[in-house]
Amino acid sequence: MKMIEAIIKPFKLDEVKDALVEIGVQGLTVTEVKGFGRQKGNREIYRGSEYTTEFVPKVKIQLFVTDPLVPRVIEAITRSAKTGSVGDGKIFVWDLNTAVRIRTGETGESAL
Amino acid sequence: MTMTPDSGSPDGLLHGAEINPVSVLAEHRQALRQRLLEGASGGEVMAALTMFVDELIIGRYKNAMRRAGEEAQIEGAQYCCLVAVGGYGHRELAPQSDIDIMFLYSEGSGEVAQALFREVLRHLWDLGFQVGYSMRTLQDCIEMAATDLTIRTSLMSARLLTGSPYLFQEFYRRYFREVVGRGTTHFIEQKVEERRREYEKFGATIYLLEPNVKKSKGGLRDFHLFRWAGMARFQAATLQDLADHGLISGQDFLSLTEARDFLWRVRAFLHFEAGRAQEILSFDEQVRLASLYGFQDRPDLLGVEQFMQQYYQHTMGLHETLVRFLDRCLAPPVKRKSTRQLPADKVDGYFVVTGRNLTVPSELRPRVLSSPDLLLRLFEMAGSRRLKIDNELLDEIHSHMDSVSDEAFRTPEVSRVFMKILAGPGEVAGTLEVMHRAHLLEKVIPVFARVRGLMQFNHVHKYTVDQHTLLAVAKAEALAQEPGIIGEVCKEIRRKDLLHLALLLHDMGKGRKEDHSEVGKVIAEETAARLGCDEQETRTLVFLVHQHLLMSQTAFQRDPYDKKVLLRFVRAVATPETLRKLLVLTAADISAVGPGVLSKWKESLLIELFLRALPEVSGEQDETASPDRLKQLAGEVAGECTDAAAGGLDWIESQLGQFPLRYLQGTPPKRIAAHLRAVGRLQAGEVLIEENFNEELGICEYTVITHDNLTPGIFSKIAGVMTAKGLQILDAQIITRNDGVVVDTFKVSDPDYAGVPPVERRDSVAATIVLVLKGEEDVERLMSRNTRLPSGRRLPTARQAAEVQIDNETCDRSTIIDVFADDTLGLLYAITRSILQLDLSVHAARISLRDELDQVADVIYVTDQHGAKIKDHARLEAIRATIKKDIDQFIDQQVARSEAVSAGSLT
Repeated sequence: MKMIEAIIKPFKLDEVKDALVEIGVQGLTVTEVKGFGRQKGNREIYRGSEYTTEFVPKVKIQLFVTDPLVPRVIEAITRSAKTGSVGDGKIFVWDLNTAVRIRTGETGESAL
Repeated sequence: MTMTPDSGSPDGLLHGAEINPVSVLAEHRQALRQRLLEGASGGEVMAALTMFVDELIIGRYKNAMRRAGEEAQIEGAQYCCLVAVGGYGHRELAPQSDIDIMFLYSEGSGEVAQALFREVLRHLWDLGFQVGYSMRTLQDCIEMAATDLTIRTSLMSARLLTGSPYLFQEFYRRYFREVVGRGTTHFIEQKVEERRREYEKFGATIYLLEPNVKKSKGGLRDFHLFRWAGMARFQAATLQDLADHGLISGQDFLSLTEARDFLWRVRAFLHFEAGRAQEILSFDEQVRLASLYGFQDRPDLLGVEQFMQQYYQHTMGLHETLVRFLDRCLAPPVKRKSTRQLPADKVDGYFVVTGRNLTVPSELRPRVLSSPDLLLRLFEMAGSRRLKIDNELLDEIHSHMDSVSDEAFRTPEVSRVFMKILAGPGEVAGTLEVMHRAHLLEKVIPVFARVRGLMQFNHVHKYTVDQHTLLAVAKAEALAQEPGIIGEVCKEIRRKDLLHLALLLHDMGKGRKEDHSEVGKVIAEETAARLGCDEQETRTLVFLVHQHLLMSQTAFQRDPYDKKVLLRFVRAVATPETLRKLLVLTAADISAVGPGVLSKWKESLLIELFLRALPEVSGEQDETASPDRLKQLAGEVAGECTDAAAGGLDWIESQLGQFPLRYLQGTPPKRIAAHLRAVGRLQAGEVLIEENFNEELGICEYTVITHDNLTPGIFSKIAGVMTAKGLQILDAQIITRNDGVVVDTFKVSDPDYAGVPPVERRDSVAATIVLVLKGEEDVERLMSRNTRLPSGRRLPTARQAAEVQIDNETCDRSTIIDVFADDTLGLLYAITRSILQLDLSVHAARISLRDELDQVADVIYVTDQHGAKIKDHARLEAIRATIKKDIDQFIDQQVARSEAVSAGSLT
């Protein structure tokens, strides 16, 4: 079992979601986040005054999948989130120890 | 069937014979539920349940006392009594309400009666009732009620169940004399404050989509507060008493009773359905109740929306009546006459200001009520001076409005004053809200009547349409006070009235089956006509209402770094002022959806789009690129220079440094390379043309490279050549570098050719530009010689007068001229020629087509011949008038010409 987290451009969310649903992903957690990577934050200048927005608005998606699905998830996110310009985001993959479905108490892959 | 166990039976026998009290209660509830379904009122159901519980308690208590012996009976009858308090005291037990009960005893009583009371309590608990109880002496009651607000309130509805009537009377007499009669104002204030905190907790507005029927604003608690205040201030125990004594009007009495009965009934249904004291009217329950109440879906409005509209009408009415009544309860006992004795405070001949209150003396009221103009002025004055209009007067206006037609409000003065209210300064949203409450807003904007309490049956919105709309205006006002870019932009908006009007109208298309933006567009057009807006105002208003979702959709769902996305957005928005209005409208709209919906995250996406679009709409990307960016770009451009003709990387970099960012960002490296090659071989007095066909967009780009001292009016002359050649100018970029090198790019479509125009054609255009700029050909002569058959866009049949606006605030260095006119071949030439004749020089221009309007919006940045912004007002007005006259003349000529052509009499 793996946890996959990806930071993507906000307007790509729908495309990424559709791509993931298509390959059989069952659930997804979405968070509106701000941060910076190599893209750095913008310095916004308006009327000569500077408004620092050190952080760029992004969307973070988080999902939990079985091992065999991982390469396809990565492929789907990469394909659907890509614009080719700076700030397209990143994907992270973690090992997942355990998962429990609260309603039934099922554990492991059947809880995913 | 009563539940009272038979008297005196020994416990052992009784258990076998007794009917299970729990199931009796359940059956009773079931029977009540059936009655409710068959149409019984909430009040009937509550009275029946109260009677049932009364009998239960009294029977149990008496029975227990009998079993305890004669001594206990005497003690119970003389020294103690059972008292119903709270809602139970009022006989208002909803199916799952708590039962509040007090054991009142005097010093002489012993322990026995108390023990019996506890037995009754146990029984109630066993039956599953929630019971609140207290055991107090008379003295306790007086002392505790004096300090504890809750006790004081709950005792107001004390009702004797059983026991000593003398003790109860004594309690009642002392309680009213020593508690209720004292500190009345303070008590009411405390209750109001308590209720205010409750509003905050349960939704600050009546128009919650899932309201709490008891505690939300306009809920039953408002009715309770009404009754408490009336009881404290006027010793009136019921609404009927208040009405009988003329303390509330007959109309208020009726609407209050209706609202109360409506809420009671809804609550009874909620309790029965949930099997507990459920007070939240959830979406699921709304759907269920709507069908129970017989509401049918209509094409324009779901049944559930009709039901909720009724719900909001009742809660709104209840709340408004409460507010007015509380005002009266708390008003210092000043007779209205005294205000009339201060003639100095009379304003405008009709209005009287006392402190922060605004009213109209009663002898003048008929005049004011019958004059829409005066009524508008009343609200305008309240708004601009931040005064509060007397509630009684508002009442009168409200009841008067029902008999007045909208048409009476279609006067120029009403429109003028209404726009003034919308413009501020002063309370804009606050005033509109009061106007809405008085049913006057819908006389000025009739469509508002339709959205009163109109719910939006989805999980995103928290408020009804009218509430959302008014809140959006309030948010727009509040945004101006906030630090940051949106706040700054807010302050710069010039026509706040148009922004506020657009906000008022943006969702008026809701509740019909067509797309609400499209319906809104029609409504905006109608409203603009009604209010007598001129063309320019109408255009802005219609655009903002029709496209109110454009900015959020673009910012949240599209890539603002995609040039095509940005360009489409920019073309639609067209001017900096419209962009600013759209940003604030969008932010206010989102913010008025519900608390916290406009997150900083969303704000930053909107700001990102705004900042990217602003230079585009204003043609003002004059800042230079950062050194890093220049280096990177120089590399990319060098990669496009396959021949060795261009100088090295350093030369490219230094050349790029002389161009403004708008050029560097908007031009592909390949084109830049071509332009630089031309710059590199440009000799004094020469004109070079770089042309290119963009397959994707199907347009030709002509870039003219020369020196600015070659001839005056370079830009205008090029535009003239384009017109003479029958080319449609889509976009024009003017760049004059500090070293005098001019790089002007025209994007044009060539209606004479489908697809790529042949080389000869493109060469001929280029050659003509060179001839004209070198002075070897006169542009005017060229134009008359080349009068063409009308091609490409036909001239609109119903033509509108051109609109010219001067914007001296957007840009620090230049004066901006906005031109809106029918899209006519040669328009840009006409404009720039006019500008040239006015001794102005053009620094940037942007042309936006507004497809649906068949119009163009040209934005042109000009300075005087010394490169300075024009500041003289008279000169600015002269410029505006001249350009407008020239354009109108030009278009008239074109029309005449095209008519001549169609008539076949071309000379």
